Amino acid sequence: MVTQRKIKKILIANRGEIAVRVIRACRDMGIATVAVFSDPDRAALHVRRADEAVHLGPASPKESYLNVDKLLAAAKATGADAIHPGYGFLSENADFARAVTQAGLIFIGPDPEVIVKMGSKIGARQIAEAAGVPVVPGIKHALKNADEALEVAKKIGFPVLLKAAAGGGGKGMRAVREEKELKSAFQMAQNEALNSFKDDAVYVEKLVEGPHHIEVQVFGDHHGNVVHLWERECSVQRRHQKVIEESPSPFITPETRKGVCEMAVKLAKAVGYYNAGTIECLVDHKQNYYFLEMNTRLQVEHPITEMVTGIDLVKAQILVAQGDPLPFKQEDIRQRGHAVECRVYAEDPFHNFMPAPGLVVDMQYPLGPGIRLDNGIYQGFQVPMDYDPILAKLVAYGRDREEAIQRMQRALSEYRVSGPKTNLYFHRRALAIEDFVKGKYDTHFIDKHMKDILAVSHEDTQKALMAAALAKHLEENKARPVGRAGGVSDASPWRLTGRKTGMRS
Amino acid sequence: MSRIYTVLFEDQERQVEIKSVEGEYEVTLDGATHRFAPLLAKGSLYSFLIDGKEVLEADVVFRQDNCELNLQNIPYHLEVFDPRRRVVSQSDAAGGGHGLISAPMPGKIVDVKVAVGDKVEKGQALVVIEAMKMQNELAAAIDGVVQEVNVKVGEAVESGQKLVLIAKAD
Repeated sequence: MVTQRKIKKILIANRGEIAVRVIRACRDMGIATVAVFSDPDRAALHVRRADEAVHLGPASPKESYLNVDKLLAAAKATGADAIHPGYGFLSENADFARAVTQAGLIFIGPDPEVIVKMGSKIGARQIAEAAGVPVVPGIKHALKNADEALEVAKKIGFPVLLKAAAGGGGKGMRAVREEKELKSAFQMAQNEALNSFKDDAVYVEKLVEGPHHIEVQVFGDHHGNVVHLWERECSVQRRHQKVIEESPSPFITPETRKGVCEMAVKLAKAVGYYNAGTIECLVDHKQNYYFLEMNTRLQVEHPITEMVTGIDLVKAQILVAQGDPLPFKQEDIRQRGHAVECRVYAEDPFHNFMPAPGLVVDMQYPLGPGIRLDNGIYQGFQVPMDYDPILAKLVAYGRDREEAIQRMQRALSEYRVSGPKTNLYFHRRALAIEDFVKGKYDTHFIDKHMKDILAVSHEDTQKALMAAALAKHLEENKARPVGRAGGVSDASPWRLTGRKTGMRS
Repeated sequence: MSRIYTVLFEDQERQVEIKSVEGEYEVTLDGATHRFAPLLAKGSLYSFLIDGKEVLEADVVFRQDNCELNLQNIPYHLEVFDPRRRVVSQSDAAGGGHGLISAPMPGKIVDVKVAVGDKVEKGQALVVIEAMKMQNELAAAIDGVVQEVNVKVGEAVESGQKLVLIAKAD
């Protein structure tokens, strides 16, 4: 169904940096915006930037950002004619997408039925197989014995991975590289599975070695057009969470690039996809690629695609949602230059990435050539403890990869957040690791280099100890200005501390 | 006039000497002395001009002797105290060791697994705290008996807030 009506006002059913990002696209297009907020987000940046803002309820997402009834009521009360879900929260919730449409509003995203189809990993795998798209080969039923295991392994090709059907935590899992290792590995996997899970069922799939996480941005409209906007390399991950992304991938060959992009378009066409979507793939060290899953929404890391293609994806989402044809053709979409993104999280990398919400005491923005900051906080904002730790996305663009990384390093050296702990130092170090500089990394990058990334120079630590002792001394001697606990003021100049302060006040 | 402070970092105690000189400070650590001229703005954010040529910015927040320091995006957890006037911590009062369990981050208490009088073993889960959709289980660091439980389920806590106190088993 093609909707064909001009969108005049959009409610953004999200918060933080992504809500701010969507508001920016709306402003560019002359579309009015409605922000929504929970109690702790009353003063959040997305609320301050929007034309209108509606209070949803308490901090708990169920009573605010995940509450469909309240969101629809807010849209009705403000006369919004479309809803943008951002990412996370309700962005891949088919019931929400349906409810929006049933309320007579436009959902800025794909068909709810496609969200359902691609939302199930097994279902998506079946659709991919039917469309002739490669998936990680293997069988999903228990092997009877070592002979059957050998037969299947030969068919899918070594190396293979034997996995306990009831498995978890690496138990009952065995990588097998050669035919002659298979029999004993099968026995061990079976025994381990039996001991760990009281179930000796073992199955086999292809081992993806040195895996790279590569994803392809796709875009479709209501007129049957589907294009791709090339790939993003997202292999720098910790606990399956992406941390640094770049485009183009420094790893894949032109043939692989062509292959994954064609595959992505094929799959998107097979399900009648419209709006922005992402096809995620695994690519092994020999450039074999396999479909992993589809994300039926805008991705966190969409800015790197915007930088290298010059296309505003959010704007395109809005145009497609109101029934316009795609504003670009496949042959016009080129990868020009290179972009890198660092996700800035409120967390302590030195203590197992423990979340670190709190008051932003000071913030200095990185600026200058090639830098883009999709930011959701400001000095004086209290980062709530109730939501994702993402504070901002720092994106650097350059004519080539080397320039993009240099600019990112420069931006990271300017960027300062005081108050909540952040992973900014982690990024500076990670980007300087030789494997990253050379573009030779896979999904094991962080595990492999963690110690190096978190190393702090003796000199810095000495300075920290001296600064701490001196700050304590100043506090004990009441050298600090007092009565400033109420908040942070932009207007306050730096003050000399110590005796001079005492004399001035 | 000079003062000595003890800084505890990664289980190591270090002495820092501070001498006030004409509104600035001579700071000595491990035999090396540097002159610090501090500026303070925006609450807890300091800018130090070191030896008249290097600018160092640090956000420093104290909770009694505990110190959270952010040195140009590098976070440090420290303890800073005057060795003559150390605030006797409750964990010391409870018989040494690490009987005091404090919140490692601001968050919400989602589970309290013990009550006053319970016998607990080292490694036993005491409290579950949640922030930013991530749960952390806080466990006993020693064998002992629960002497204090200062929180209840649903309560929001600050980083460093005392949650549970365990008296060491005899």
